[in-house]
Amino acid sequence: MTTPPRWQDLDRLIHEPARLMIVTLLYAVEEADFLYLLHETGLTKGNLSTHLSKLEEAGYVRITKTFRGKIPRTLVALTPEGRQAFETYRQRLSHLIRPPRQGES
Amino acid sequence: MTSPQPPLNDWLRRPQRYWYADGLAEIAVGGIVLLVALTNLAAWWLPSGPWQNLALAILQPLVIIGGVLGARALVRHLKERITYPRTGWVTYRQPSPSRRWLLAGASFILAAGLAFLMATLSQTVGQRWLPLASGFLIAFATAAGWRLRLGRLLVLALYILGVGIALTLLAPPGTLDAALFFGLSGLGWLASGGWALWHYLRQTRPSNEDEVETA
Repeated sequence: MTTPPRWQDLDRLIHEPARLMIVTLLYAVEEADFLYLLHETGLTKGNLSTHLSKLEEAGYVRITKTFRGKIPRTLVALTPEGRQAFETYRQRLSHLIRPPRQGES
Repeated sequence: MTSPQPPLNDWLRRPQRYWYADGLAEIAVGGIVLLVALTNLAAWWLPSGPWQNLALAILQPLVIIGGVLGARALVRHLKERITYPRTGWVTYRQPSPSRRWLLAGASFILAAGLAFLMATLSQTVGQRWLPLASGFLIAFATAAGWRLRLGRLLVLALYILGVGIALTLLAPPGTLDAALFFGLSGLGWLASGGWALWHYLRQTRPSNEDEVETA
């Protein structure tokens, strides 16, 4: 029998609301640019940059600087580790909110 | 320790909803549906016989396939010019090759099933009821947009159902019923997409260079 997860077991890096939103948005796509994340999250440019840096340091996102014509573009994508971390987080959260009944995994 | 549940499912749907934010996809669908209406109108004008059958059996599938391919390229081009410079760029996750084949197979079976259903309905209850059946099916598929919280697609679904009901009651002759059904439905799609595009353009502006870069 596996030990049920506790709130303390949630990945603190992802659990922070702004970073959770960034990771969730990125989970649904292959890649998105900085402008898209800026619009969807409603964060300020500085705040978004700080959160992305933390996620990049943890190895959860990959940031690539490129150009679209002459306009610079910052592309952000979840790494396989980031995807795995989000899936684990989501699974644990759902267990905490709706604990499985006896007999369920 | 408790914590409010984050709206993960809503956030996961946002990139999908973003595809429809500018109304371009609806405008493209409207264009294809109008082309289908034109083929039915052409068939109505032609005298009954081989030319009419040819127009429906060959021209219509060609128009649909060509329209879908052309519309995909056009929507991508317009998004590059209009949407991405304003609210950002996204690449969607592509299904794996096996899933792609599965989807293609399911679409083919669904299309064949619908064609069989329409042919059976036409022969049993009569062609007069086809606009109602088509209206119901298309309205049902359109209303699925509600899953992405796109209220305008629900309005569009009701409009298409209304067109189907009205044409069933009026019972226009020959293939004119199909021409009117697809023509009016296509105009509905164009109006819905045009309204969304107008709102989108009013609410957004092209971003300047320092907005698209990280700090």
